[in-house]
Amino acid sequence: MNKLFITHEDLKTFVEALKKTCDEFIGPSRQHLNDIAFGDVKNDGEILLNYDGNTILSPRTFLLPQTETLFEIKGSIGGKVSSIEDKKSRIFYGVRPCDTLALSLMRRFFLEGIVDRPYQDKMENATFITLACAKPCSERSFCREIGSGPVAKKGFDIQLVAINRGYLVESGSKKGGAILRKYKKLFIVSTPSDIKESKRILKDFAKEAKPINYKRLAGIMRDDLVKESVWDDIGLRCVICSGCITVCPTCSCFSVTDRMNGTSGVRVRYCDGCPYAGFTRMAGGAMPKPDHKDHIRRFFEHKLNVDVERYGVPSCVGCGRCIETCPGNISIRKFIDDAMASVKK
Amino acid sequence: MMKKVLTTCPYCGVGCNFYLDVRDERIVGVIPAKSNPVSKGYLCVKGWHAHEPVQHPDRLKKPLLKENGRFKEVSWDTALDYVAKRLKGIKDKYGPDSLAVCASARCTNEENYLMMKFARAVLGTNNVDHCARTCHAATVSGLNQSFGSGASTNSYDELPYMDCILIIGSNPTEAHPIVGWRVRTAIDNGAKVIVCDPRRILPAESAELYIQQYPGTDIALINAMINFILKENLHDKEFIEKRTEGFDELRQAVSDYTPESAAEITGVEPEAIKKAARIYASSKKACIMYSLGMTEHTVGTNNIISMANLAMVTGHVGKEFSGLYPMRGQNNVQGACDMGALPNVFSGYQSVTDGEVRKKFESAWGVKLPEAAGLTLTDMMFKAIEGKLKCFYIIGEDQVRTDPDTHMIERALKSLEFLVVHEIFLTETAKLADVVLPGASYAEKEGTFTCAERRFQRVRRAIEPISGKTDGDIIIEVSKRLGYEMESEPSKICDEMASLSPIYSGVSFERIEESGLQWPVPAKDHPGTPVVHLGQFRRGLGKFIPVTHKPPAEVPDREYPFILSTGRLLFHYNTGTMTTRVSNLLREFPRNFVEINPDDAKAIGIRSNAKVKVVTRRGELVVSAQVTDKVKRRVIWMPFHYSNEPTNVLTNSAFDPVCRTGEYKACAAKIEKI
Repeated sequence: MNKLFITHEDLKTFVEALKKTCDEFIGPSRQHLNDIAFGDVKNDGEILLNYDGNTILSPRTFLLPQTETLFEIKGSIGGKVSSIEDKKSRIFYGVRPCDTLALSLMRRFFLEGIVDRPYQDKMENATFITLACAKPCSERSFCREIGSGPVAKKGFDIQLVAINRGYLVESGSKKGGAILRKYKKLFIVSTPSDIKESKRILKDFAKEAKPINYKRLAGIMRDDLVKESVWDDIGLRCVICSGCITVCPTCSCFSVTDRMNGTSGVRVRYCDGCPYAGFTRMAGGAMPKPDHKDHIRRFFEHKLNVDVERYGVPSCVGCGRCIETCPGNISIRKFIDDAMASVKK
Repeated sequence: MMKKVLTTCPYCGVGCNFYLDVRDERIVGVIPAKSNPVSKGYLCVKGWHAHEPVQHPDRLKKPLLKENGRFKEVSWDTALDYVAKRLKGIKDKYGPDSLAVCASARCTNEENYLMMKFARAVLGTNNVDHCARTCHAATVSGLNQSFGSGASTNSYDELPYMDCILIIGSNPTEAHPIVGWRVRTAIDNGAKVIVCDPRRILPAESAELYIQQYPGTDIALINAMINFILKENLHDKEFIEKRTEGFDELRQAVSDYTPESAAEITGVEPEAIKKAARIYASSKKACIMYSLGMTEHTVGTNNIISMANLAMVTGHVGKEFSGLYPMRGQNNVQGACDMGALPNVFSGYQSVTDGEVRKKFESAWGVKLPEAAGLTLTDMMFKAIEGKLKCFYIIGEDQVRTDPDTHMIERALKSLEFLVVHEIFLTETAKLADVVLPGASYAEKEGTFTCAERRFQRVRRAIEPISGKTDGDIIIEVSKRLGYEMESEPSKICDEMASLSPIYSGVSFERIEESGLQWPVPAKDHPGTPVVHLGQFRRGLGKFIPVTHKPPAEVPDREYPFILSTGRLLFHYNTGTMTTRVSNLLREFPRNFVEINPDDAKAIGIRSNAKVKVVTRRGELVVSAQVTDKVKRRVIWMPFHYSNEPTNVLTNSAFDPVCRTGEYKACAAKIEKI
């Protein structure tokens, strides 16, 4: 497909025009010092049209927030339950390719088979504009090796690739195509030299990356061939902060609780997952996997083994956020190397 | 409306920063702040859930006034008028020293400054203290005697580069997890970690050496290390010569403590003591990290002095990559001490008995100030029982659940004529109050907290106060009703504090905006002090003070054969008023328990999860047993977080004679099978 081109100036115009078409325009904005986080730049703060690095949290924080009210409860017996709906229209701008892949995996989890209504409501009203990466966002990310970056292959409505004189633009969905047509005056057809330039940038990005053979890795894990010492080390390092499952763009687990004040209140769902012993503890205190190392193993198995079987690709998208936030210095990237190297005889 | 508000975590004393993610006035999550020099994008499980308790439906929203033994909701004006009237009545009838204020390590520096000003300038008493009394008062008194400054000597960021970290009576992984991350990084960088703890804590698993001494035998252990260091000629003669005094007295005092003789007291193999001494003394960059395992003893102050002695003998203090790291337990316990919420000092540790200092505060505040030092929290309780103390004004503290020997504390609070409590949830202490004033959580106020590395950091308002007022607002309004106006703007309160406190002279909201500031900051252009005592100790020469082993106030006997020690869990914070209201945290550890060694469990005939009765001379408690080799024979361990199963009914209120901190870490107990 022919790529379009937009100048720096026209991108500003494009974004300003889009802001008027949605309730919230979620874009990267600078917080304290060098922190970058997604915020509603339509109503508060300034958007970064292009930026280095990645946002501290992925767009997941808007689709599956850490805590989310689901419905209101009024009265106990014969009481009334009314759902709290979030049908705000949102345009997400500047989503990185790794997070874009994560969105397409999450879409399958929440919207295929049993549909998660609160997630569906938000997704149906969301548009995603991806911004390809020009250089690695941190020492800890490994998108090129896992195959999620530096350019998204799918999952976006529109994708931008930054080059010197502006951005290459492509649509990835009907919704994206319609938007580009609506604002077609802002776009021109890209030149062969633009394409050449973008290819060079992306080649430089991936210079020393060697793809991870994730199918082989999944096989090693499925056959339980990873040396016990690798799991032992991880078990001693994890201090159950829950950071990994909170920052991961593909973690989908949650629990629910009622926040009641007398007989009225709300049902809340909140981020939950692998590291907690209580996540799988059963009545009477029985634990199917009592050792802590197996709780983190559950996280790794899901990302690197189970989902390869389910989706054909790992659900670790290589963003590196879990590595950057782990107070035990656990690295899923290092685990991959250790697992591949330390196969049991 | 969506906003992200950068603020400081309200839990332990590490001082991590995060953004509160606020959407339409609801705080939905936290985002770690990578730009923060303390936490660098890391958080522990409590921090990741710090938003959850803030808007919990159990929050107190209106003032409560007790009538005929029952609370009724009243308006702010009614409550504040009543409080002011009662305070004045008691002051007029019994004199100012019949009143006492308990400030709060959970509140901001500015609020603590107001509280100590309120006690001194408005009520007219130096009876002001706070919960540092039950944790690091020993650090303040001990390090002050040895070095001339009672706070951490060095900074967090030196930890990953240490060659040796001696961790004693501290569990960084659970109690200070983001300092725990730096210990982890140090281990990954090749540092040798020595863990000395009666309980086999997680860092022990990755340590070079683990020493399991009996609770309350730390001086014997450390003196034996010094003894061996001197015998092997591993001490730093040049440092001792140039920077210290009193070495001969120390040498004399430790001569009785050979590793062999200490083995009997501590239950530690002499070889392990020697190995620890050798590693620590011969490492180039070595530090000591400790916390309440050292301070909460009847010998707390001496415990701290013994560590200062060890650091000075080896020259591991007064320079970069060395020193003592007292890990502070609460978000602002450092700050509450710094602000002078203590009975003997104004802000900046300026003595209330110093006439010059008093004159300075008198002229700034425009009142005559009391001359004699006030009562410590420990003594306030005794005086209440004696009937000398009539009124207690408590801000954000739950003494009934946190102080040792609960039954005694309840008796003390019930003896009062008038009890006022500021709280965000109805705690056991608040239930005993005549008036409960609903305070504000960290997310509802502007101000600063000071963390364990002496760093002032900003606290910022994410939502409006749920009760309509912050704790600072309340103090100001009560004060106004008593005829004294106070500044209400937090940044101006900070300026007033800085203008009166030489070691914080350079502190202002503007200067700490970016990355905070580590005190001492003696001038507006001073960059702050990451390492204290560089070149010279604050007191001049470091002072060796000989200390000797003294057993805990209560030792095991035939009737009570176990040593009971207590402490914190990763998932809970103090009395759990906040953490037990977070589903994920409560679910991990929903109930109290007692850890017991497998051999002891076998002898009693119990298995894990069996209900047992733990009994001491002060009380008893039924909890489930956790059979584990984390503790050795004759030692049992319990957390203290559960308000409905309160461990402190068992603990001993015997206290250190200098700093008056209770002995939570060792008392005699028995276990009955039921």
